[in-house]
Amino acid sequence: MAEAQYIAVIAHGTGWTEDYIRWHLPLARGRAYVHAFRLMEGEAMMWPDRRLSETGRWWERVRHRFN
Amino acid sequence: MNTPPIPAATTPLNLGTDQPIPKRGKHVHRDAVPTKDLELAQQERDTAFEAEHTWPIWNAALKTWEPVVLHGYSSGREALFYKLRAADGSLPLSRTLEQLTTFLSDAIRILWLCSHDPQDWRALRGDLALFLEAIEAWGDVNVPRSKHVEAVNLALQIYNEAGINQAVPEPSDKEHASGN
Repeated sequence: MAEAQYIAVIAHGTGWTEDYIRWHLPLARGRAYVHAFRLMEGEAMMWPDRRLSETGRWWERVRHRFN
Repeated sequence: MNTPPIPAATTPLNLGTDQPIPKRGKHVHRDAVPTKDLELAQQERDTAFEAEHTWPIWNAALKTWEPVVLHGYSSGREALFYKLRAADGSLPLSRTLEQLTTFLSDAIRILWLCSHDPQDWRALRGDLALFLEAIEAWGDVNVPRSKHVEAVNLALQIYNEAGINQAVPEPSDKEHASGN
């Protein structure tokens, strides 16, 4: 379960409570922490951002043309 | 004791053409990304990390709009948002995101969730139909027609900010056999 994994990673890295992570920590911050924890564990990460890949940028151009 | 003579080095050892080929891992292609795109993406991630939003709430006693700082769109609120969508039989988000008008009810749900505390919906969680009615009633008062576009834009911003810092593991040549 994605939310359980998210909470477990942050709780393990920070010691914050489940209640705080679930209801008070914005996802924009929490997901940045998950990214940082994974990098610290040596995992290679990437951004799934269309603008940051050639295929993605091509897809965006096509989308704009048809919009 | 006589040591055996060491053979003189003559021709280099011939290993033939079948040289061992170094084992290659799965090649990860890294695209060349324009610097401006990289900087813009980083800036957006930083902005999302620091983001704080407000929404005007109608104060019936004082008969005035009061700006309220919204709670962060947290994992629990996101889970609840999807649960409410499912209970309402909403179209897939990819469809409602196509037009501002179709996203309005999603926008009101996001604003409701971010302007309330968990204790506010504790009694409603067991009855999702009642929960949806409460949100709709709140929307009628706090998201009037004149604020529809503003509400949709803010909710979209909150929704997009939540996903912008979500990185994924890079493809790897290591096989994970755990199945998880």
